[in-house]
Amino acid sequence: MSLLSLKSVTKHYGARTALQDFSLDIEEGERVALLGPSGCGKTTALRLLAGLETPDRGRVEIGGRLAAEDGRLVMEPEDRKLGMVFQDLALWPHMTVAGNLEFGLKARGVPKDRRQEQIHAMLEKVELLEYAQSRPSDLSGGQQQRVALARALVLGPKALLMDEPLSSLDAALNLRLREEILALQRALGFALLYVTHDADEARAIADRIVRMGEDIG
Amino acid sequence: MKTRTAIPRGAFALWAAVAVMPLLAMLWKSLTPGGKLGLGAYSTIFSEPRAWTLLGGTILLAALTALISGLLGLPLSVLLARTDLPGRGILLAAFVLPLLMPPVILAYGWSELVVYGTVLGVARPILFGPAGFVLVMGMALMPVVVLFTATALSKTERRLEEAGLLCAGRWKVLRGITLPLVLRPYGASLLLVFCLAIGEAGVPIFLRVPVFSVESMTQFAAFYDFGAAAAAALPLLIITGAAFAGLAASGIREVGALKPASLTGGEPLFRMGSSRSWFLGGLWGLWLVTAGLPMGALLVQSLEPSAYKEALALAGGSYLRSLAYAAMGATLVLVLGFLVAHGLAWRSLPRWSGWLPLLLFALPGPVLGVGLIALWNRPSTSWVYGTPAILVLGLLAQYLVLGMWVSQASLAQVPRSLEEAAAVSGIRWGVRLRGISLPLVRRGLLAAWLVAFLFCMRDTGLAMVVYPPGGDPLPARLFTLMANGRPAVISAICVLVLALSLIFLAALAMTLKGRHS
Repeated sequence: MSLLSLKSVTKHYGARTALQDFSLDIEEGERVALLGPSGCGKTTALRLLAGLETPDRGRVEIGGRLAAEDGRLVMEPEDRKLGMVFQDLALWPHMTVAGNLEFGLKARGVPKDRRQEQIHAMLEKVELLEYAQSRPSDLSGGQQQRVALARALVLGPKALLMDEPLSSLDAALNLRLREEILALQRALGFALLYVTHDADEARAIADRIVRMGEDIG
Repeated sequence: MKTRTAIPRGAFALWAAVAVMPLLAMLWKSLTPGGKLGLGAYSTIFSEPRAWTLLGGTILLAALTALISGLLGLPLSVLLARTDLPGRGILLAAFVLPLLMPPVILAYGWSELVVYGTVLGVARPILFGPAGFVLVMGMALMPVVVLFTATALSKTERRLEEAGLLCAGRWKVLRGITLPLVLRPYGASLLLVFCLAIGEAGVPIFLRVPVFSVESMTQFAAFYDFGAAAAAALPLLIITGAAFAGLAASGIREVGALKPASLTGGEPLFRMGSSRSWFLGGLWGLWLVTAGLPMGALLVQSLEPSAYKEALALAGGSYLRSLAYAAMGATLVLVLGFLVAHGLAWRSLPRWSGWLPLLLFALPGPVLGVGLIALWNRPSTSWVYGTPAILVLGLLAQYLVLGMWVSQASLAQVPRSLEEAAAVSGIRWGVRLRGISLPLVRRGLLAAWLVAFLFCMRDTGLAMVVYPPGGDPLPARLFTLMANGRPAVISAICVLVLALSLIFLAALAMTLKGRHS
């Protein structure tokens, strides 16, 4: 039984086909890169797994359970227990760094003292403890990247979905953060699905690369 | 100074002179009662405890109006902007309709519903009192909250919600992420409703509710004590200014962030599923109670034989004059509003210059009216005071913000690089404006004119204070007729105003639809 599974999924946006009969299986602890040019459907595949989109045809399974099928959403995004880092990070500007991490924990009913412990531990891991009370807008690009990573990981997801998270960073910072992501993945053991259009980045991050063609849409 | 800087600055300076000089003249008049410098006008008014009670009551009524608008407007905005309910565009238009007509028409509609001898007749003492003012104004101004909040909700970055949806349910995302993100525009809309309610004169006069804006008009119209009228207007100017200081302190960096725009598509936060028909029924029910019933009462009342013929005979001239005044006002608002918007977009005007038109928009109409009279009522300027020019200048002063906002929204759709490419090719500013920006935003400009026209037509506060002899606009005629006219005829006049608002709203919707397609 795979941890994440897309089975023959097709997704259209109006007249445009984003994904056509696409399948993918990811096992626990595995690191997979989705590699392909812009518009080939990489982000759509990620969003289908996250539950942010529903496939027009085909089936999505999370941990062996049906999550969506043929236009029908069965499992809500928050019930899939996945983490995601968005391309534009999507940090909540009205909350502090700690607030960004706390929101999900609070929503899951984690008691306050345990929330504080978990936030502290995670911010320590990503070396942002001193910025706990800062707003995302006060941080540098690399620091914001780490907040997004910490926010996704503090909930202890079984899989982390990353949508071209390093594409906007300079080369040196890109290399450093790749290392940090790998170190965190090895330490925490989550499965990683990493979307990129950069073959070097894909090779550095993943132990399996899935190439997606231009002809898909 | 370069042309691209000089023309927007000139346009703003011209508008500022038209808008601010009357206020300064009013201040001067209030300080020189009987030609001598002193605070006599103020002490006469404010030595009476009644003035303070009136001022406190006015603030309380305006705050309650904002509360009612806010309580109803927020859930309505969420339903219109972040769900998949069908026909949301029509619902939005229906809820916006009351904003496009003088609020006194709604009040009159309600009074026709609660006539003695009907089941609703027991509500008549409530309608003709402070509670009636709050309810009518709350319903009339709720669209301000809906337009600001629904626009902000539809513009909320979807990724921020999606990031929340991965760890929390939709209600928690709404409470924890979506609503905090629109708190500022929502708060701003409440402040604007507060200011507009403070400045309303037509509804309190009709419902016989004593408020401060009427006090200023009474001092002028009944006692012809201009110093006292100006002194009575000043507290309203100060309260509006204070509300705006609060708005500026709220952290909204530029006024363009508040501009209403159309609702956009996108993934809804809530899918209504099987409860869709319940919500739709509830929303149309709310519309019926807040706007449909009073409008329906007017329509039914107006169906008496010869009511429309009599209405046109009695008020046809005023109707046509109002159309002409509104068309002239809207054209000036469009021209200067576009130039100011362009100046703001290209940073040839400082950001604060976007705030002043909003302050004037929220300023009570009678206050501006008293200022206009203070400035222009002298023999050498009778060519303004004795002609429609005084009213048209007032409309320009009060409604420039609408032309500016819609133009800003349109200009934001045009990539800056298009004009820049022309500039590096050596094309002058005026030619760039005519050849590139104006053709690309022409639908937006039409929308700006329509919005400005609708607001100029609905204006009551200014129109009741300043109009040339023999040139009364529709609101002034309507008030005269309300005192002694036949209800069927008054209802027919109201229905004619309503029909015009509907036609222009439809034209606006078609223009915006074309712009977005």
